[in-house]
Parts: sequence; C-alpha cells; structure tokens
Amino acid sequence: MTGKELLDKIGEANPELVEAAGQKSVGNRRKKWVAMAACFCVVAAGIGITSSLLSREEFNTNGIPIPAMSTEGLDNPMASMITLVVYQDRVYTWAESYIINVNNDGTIQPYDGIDGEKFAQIESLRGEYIGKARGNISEYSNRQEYEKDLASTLGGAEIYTVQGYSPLFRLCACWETLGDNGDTEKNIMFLENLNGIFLETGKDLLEDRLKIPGRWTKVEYQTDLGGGVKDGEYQTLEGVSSQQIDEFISDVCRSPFIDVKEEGWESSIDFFEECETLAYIRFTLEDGTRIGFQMIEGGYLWYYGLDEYPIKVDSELFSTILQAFS
Amino acid sequence: MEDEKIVALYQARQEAAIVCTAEKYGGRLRSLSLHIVEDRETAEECENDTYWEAWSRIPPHDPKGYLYAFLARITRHISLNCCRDRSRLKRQAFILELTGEMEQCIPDGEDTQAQAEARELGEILDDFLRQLPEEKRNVFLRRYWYLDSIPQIAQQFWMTPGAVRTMLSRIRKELRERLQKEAYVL
Repeated sequence: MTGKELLDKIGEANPELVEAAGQKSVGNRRKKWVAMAACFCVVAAGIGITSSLLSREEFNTNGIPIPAMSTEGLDNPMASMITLVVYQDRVYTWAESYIINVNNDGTIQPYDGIDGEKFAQIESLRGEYIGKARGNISEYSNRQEYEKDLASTLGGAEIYTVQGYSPLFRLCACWETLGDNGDTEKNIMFLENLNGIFLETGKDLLEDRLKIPGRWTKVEYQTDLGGGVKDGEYQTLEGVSSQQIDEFISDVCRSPFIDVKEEGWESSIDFFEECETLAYIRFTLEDGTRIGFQMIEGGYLWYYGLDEYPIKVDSELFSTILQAFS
Repeated sequence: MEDEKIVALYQARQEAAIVCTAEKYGGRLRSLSLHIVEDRETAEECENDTYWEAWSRIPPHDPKGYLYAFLARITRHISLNCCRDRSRLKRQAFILELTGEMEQCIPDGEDTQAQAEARELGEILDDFLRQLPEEKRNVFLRRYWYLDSIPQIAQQFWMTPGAVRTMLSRIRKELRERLQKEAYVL
C-alpha cells in the first residue's frame, strides 16, 4: 500500500459523509449550511452591475468600492462555495443560518444553541413575502439565468424581507426539509448584499446595516490562541465590562475599511497564511440574530462576505478583548 | 428524471441514459472536476469520460439510490489521474503533496504482521471517518476527497492555516494508529 493508493481509496469513502462535507461546508465556528437539494457549488457571473446605484438610496456612497460580483470569479476556485439569491439586480450571499430539527414526535432538537423559542423569535422577523427562489443557478449558468429575479442556488426557498433591516442589505430564505424518518429540518438563512457597495468606516456595516450599537445582549468567542483547535461551542466573554464592549463597538464604527491588496497582500488568502493568531467574536442582538466577526492580531476585524476588506481598528480595547479570550 | 429510471436506461443499453445523466448531474460533475484539475477544458473532458465509464460499469453495477455518489467517485478518480499524468495542468506538485501526507498514515511494515486478520481497508476508513467529530471529518474529506488547499479550508472553516495543518496532522496520526491497530495489510 502506498500513499497514492490510500489517496485513491479515500475516493471510495461513504457517499453520505462525502456529500455532507461537500454540501454543508461546516465548521463549528461558522455554519455554512447550503444543504438545499438544488444547491451546489456556484460562482456568480456578471451581475450586480447596478447594485451600487440602487444602494445609494440609503447607505454611504463614499469609501472603498466593493466590486459587484463578476465573471472574474470563474477563474478563482475560492469563488466556488457561494450561496446566493438575486433580487432587483442585487446579489445577496449567505451570511447566517438558524436551524432546528422537529422530530417526528413533535419534540425539537436544537442546533448550535438555537432552540424552538429562539428559532420562533428569528422566524417572527420575516417581513414582506417576496417570492420563491428559482434554484436555476449552477456554475455553468449563463448571464440570462442570473438576470432573472430571484435567480438562486436555493431552489424552492421562500424569500422574505427582514423586519428591522433594510431590504437593500438583508433578506431571508426559509424552507423545510422532510427527512425519511418523518423529522422536519426547519431552516432560516440570512442573505446579505455586500457587493457593488461602498464601505468607508465600520459604521457603514455595524451601525447602518447590522444595527449592533445599543442592541447587543450577549458577546461570545472562540479562539485558536495557543495553537490548538477547540471543538465545540462559543464561550461567554468574561472580564470585559458592558461599557468596554460599547466603547469597542464605537471604536470599530469610527475605524476605516481597508483593502488587503493596498496593505501589501495579494489577497486575503495570503493574509491568512501569515496570520497565526485568530479569534472569533459573536454578538447576539435583542431580536435574537447573531453576528460573527474574526479578530486578527494587529487590529483587523473581518466580516464574512467581505473577505478582501477588513476593518482596521485602532483601539486599545481590541487587544484588551483578545487578551480576555486567552 | 429519477435516478432509478436513468439507471434502468443504462441497464437497457439506451444511450439516452447518458443524455439524462448529463442533464441532471453534468454541472455538478464538471464543477467537481474543475475544482480538482483547475482547467475548464480538462474538466469537460473528465465529465465526458465519466459518462462512458458509467456506461461500461452499469451493468453489472446497479447504483440505484446513489447514482450521483457513484458518478462523483468516477469523476474524482479520472480527474486525479489527469492531474498525475498531465504536467501542463501544473497540479502534480499539489497531488504529490497530498500523496506525501497520505504516506504518513501508513504504519511501518513490521508493525502489521497479523495479516490474516486484516479487515478491508475501505471498511476501516469508513469506520474511522464516522468516529471523527463532524468538523474534523469534514476538514479531512475537504482535504483528501475534494482536494482543497489549506488556505481554502482555513477560509471555509474560519480557522488559521496553522490550525488546519495541526488538525490534519492529528487526524493523520489517528488514522495511522487506527490502521496499525487493525493490523492492516500494507
């Protein structure tokens, strides 16, 4: 037996496990559920051109232009894990998922800290019904397919606005999957428009879009500090006062977005290659929604979906909080 | 069309089987191959080769209920061999890196004497994967089934590349110990 033969043999691994690793792309830190029947690896092609124009109605139009998604992604293997919905020429990509399993005897099996009550709270945020996602997008879909309203990888999901958030920024997709044993998996997925927009300071994201200041109720973290990988749940943050958290959020809101390319890296992948200290901070808001960021030594705060554009936070509290994690 | 009907077409030697397979799974298979070979033309070639390989294997195989998994295995195998055989794809170094990592899972020959009791390798691997925590299992399969790079996995799982390497190294060590324990014939 050689390494070559073992690598070939892994190709015969149980299909269920392979499918799960391929479709869900899950980590304990950030759940990337894309488990819809018609949802698979895709890239976005040539859409969202008008996003920035439409976004001007409500958000800041100064700062770093975040490009609309384009066919350039086709040559980038990293672009192959995008879950998206197109609505009124804007491309909304996966941001957060809330999932519970309703067993066939009616009991509810929580997932990742979301029980029946918390799920119902998130569900109550559903606003205006927009329509049913088409599920017409695959990696090889042509431009015409992308231009259809509610073009999506999420076949059959019901799309709604989200109460309390701008529909120019956030939508939600809801669906249920019936299991063979009579269980029902209920899903709510938030999708966000973070391309074809401008971002100047943290305020454009944390305050104007995510509405974090004054609304957070809990802060948790996970960390790789110490070199090990910790499996399991987020830990509650201790040793940092509520006032310090508020001040930290204010500092972030004042801090600028940067482009990693202008900081000397070719892409965020190169940046991550060099970074060995990384933590994950998650805010729970009063409406039950959860928002996670990566914190990287040196003052970088990263939001999922803005891979090339972290916020560079110049605040002593950044280090204070990182130290509290360790 | 349902998988069972497509498989029935293969069994009846109807070429429509290939058309129906391409319509239903062509995009996914091409996407899978593209991820491995990183060349669109080669990916299309691998997709086509997959259909003909399926044509020659069904029958005797009867993959009702797992047609996509059956096809995906073939696509992965063909794509992997393309990377090994075609230097222009510039994937040989990456495949060699993965092969080297797999070598680390293989116990020394002298530790595996109980050859008569050895179980089937596939069975041991499946058991091993099932017993891994979900995140570890997914990271392992992303690396060695889907052939993702370390930075790709790091971004997907919100980990540092260093943490991914540490995790993979531990899993390989566990696999090596498992193979040793099972006295697998090497």
